[in-house]
Amino acid sequence: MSKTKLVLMTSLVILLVAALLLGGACAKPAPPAEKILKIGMPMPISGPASAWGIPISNMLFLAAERVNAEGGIKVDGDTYNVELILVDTKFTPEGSADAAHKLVYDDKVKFVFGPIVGHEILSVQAVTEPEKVIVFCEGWDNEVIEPDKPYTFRFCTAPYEIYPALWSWVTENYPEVKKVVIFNTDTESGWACGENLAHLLPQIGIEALEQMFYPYGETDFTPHLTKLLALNPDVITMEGDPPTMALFFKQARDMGYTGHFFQTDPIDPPTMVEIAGKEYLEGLTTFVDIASEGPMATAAAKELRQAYIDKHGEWNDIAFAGAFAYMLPVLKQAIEAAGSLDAEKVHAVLESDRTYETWLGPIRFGGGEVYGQDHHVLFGGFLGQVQDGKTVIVARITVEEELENYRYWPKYGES
Amino acid sequence: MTAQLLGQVLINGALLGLLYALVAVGFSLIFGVCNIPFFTVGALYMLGAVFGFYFVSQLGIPYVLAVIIVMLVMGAIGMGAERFFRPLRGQLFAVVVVSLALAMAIANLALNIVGERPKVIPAVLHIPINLFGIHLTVDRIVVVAACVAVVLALHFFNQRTKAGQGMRAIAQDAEVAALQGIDINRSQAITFSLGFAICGLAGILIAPIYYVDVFMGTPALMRAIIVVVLGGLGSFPGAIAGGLLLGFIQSFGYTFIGGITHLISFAIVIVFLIFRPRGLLGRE
Repeated sequence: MSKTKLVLMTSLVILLVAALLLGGACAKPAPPAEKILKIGMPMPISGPASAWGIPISNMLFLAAERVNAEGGIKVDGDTYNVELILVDTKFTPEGSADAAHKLVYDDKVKFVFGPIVGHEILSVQAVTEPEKVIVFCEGWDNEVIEPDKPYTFRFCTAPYEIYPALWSWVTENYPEVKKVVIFNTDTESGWACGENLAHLLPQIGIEALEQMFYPYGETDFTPHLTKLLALNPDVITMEGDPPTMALFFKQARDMGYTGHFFQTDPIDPPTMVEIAGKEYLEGLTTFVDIASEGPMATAAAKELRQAYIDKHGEWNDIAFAGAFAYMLPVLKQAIEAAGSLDAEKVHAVLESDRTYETWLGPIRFGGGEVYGQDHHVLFGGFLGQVQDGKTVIVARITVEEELENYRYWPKYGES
Repeated sequence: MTAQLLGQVLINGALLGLLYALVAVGFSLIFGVCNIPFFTVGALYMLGAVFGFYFVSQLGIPYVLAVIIVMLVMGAIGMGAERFFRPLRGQLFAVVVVSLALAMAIANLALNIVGERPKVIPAVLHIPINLFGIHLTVDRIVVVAACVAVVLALHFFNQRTKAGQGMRAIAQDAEVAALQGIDINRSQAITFSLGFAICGLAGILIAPIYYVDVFMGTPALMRAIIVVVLGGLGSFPGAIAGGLLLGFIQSFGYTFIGGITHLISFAIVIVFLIFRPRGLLGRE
């Protein structure tokens, strides 16, 4: 063998051995295939309720990023990252049903976050309940969590909790308020909210002068206001989406109304200020699910708010509307407690009496005495008042107060 | 019922009705001349508002100048649209389907470009006034005045100009008009152009009172259909009369009856279609 061939052969052997050694040193067990947990998100991201749907969806995406960054969801030795599938309900029953069909039958999701309002939720439930898909939704209509909807859990503070808190606060802080006109959408939610309020107000010494309804999508309220203002109410309370409410408040003031606006739907001050102007919203009192600034805000809520601002440029109070920020931590803990992604097993955990630790504090399900099953999340809340175009927290409502407030309502099953 | 309440109800009805009439005039114009139920008018109304938002709120163009630009742009689009619809002339079903499809396409295009959140054109002359206890705002009065001016201008155009006379001739009998040397293509292009410009004008005039929303076209279309059925298809004064009738139905209805008023509007449309299909001022 020539010297050249010897050098070449030696080099090849060294390279081969080095490659084998280095290869062995670098070899790692094949990384586990990334596992994904798909969660459906039917939301009104177009139409007037997009003022709710978009910030809420943004908050859910933020929550998903956070859960994934914190290590995902652990099930039986596997780690699942959350993937949210957003589908527009168009804020219509048909759009909601289409969204549910897509999520359940095409995307095969077993867990759904949303939608927001009664008519959307009932349409989604027509698909999810028979398919035993777990739904975490909002919705003020009690029908959405009645016992014939065993797979649905409600994540918001609803009229049974809010109304007594708000109106008790009103009687303490505005003793001159004696007469109220209720102005709601001509929808299932609007009628249900109206009936609830008409049931409550006489119990706390306030007269409900009239319940009035307007068709969804209405933009001109001058005819309604002519009748409404002739009743000379101290307060108008309204249910509707933020742009519609802004128009209504503006038109009411233009027509000479000088009384109070107390209302309980989540508001979106940036959108409403843009539509109506700050001066038209001044003093509007409303329910706020989670305080994100001021002395009553927790450090975690402030941090989540800042994360939202960092990502989306500006804060929107609606992002904390309902308790959508709570959903993922609750589902994560329920899945991990079940040790399975099987919806039936997760459902069994959710049905059990347990407290969930979330970024924003502990929460649990309750409300069975008035709703028929403990599928309503209890987390308290706040009252806020619009001052100079921003919501300022003026009172806190505890879970204990919410439970106490159930005394105003008939027990489930009683007429 | 006090005189003040009655006055407020009447004023509300008149203002609302004339706001509704503006889109209906566009619908009525195209139907009257081209014999086309042009269901795209609601989307055109939305498009006018969206253009208005971009010109005024985004580009900072003065509002009055923006109104003129919107009318010119919409008129030019209308001229182009006529060429698109020309091959479908005489095919009623095809025109209905295509006009509905076009409305959906415009709405979805706007949704993708403008986004789903409501937009605002800063209110011009939003000054609340109180006339002997009757409340109204100056911007509504201005829009109503514009509506009346548009109808008067159209009436003048129709009666006193050669192009208008040509449009009237086509409206009566297109074939005979063509035999008399009237250029049908040109007349229909002018009609489309005017119809588009009027719908765009309605959008940019009315949007500052409410807000700009890519879904605002559908309710506007529904109201335009009601107005022209009540007032008479193809009649400009009929559009005003129909608008006023709908405005008064809503004003009196919501004040004295309540939430079922919107059903009453549709019930009255059905009654008209059965017993007076030509509406209040439509031709036989």
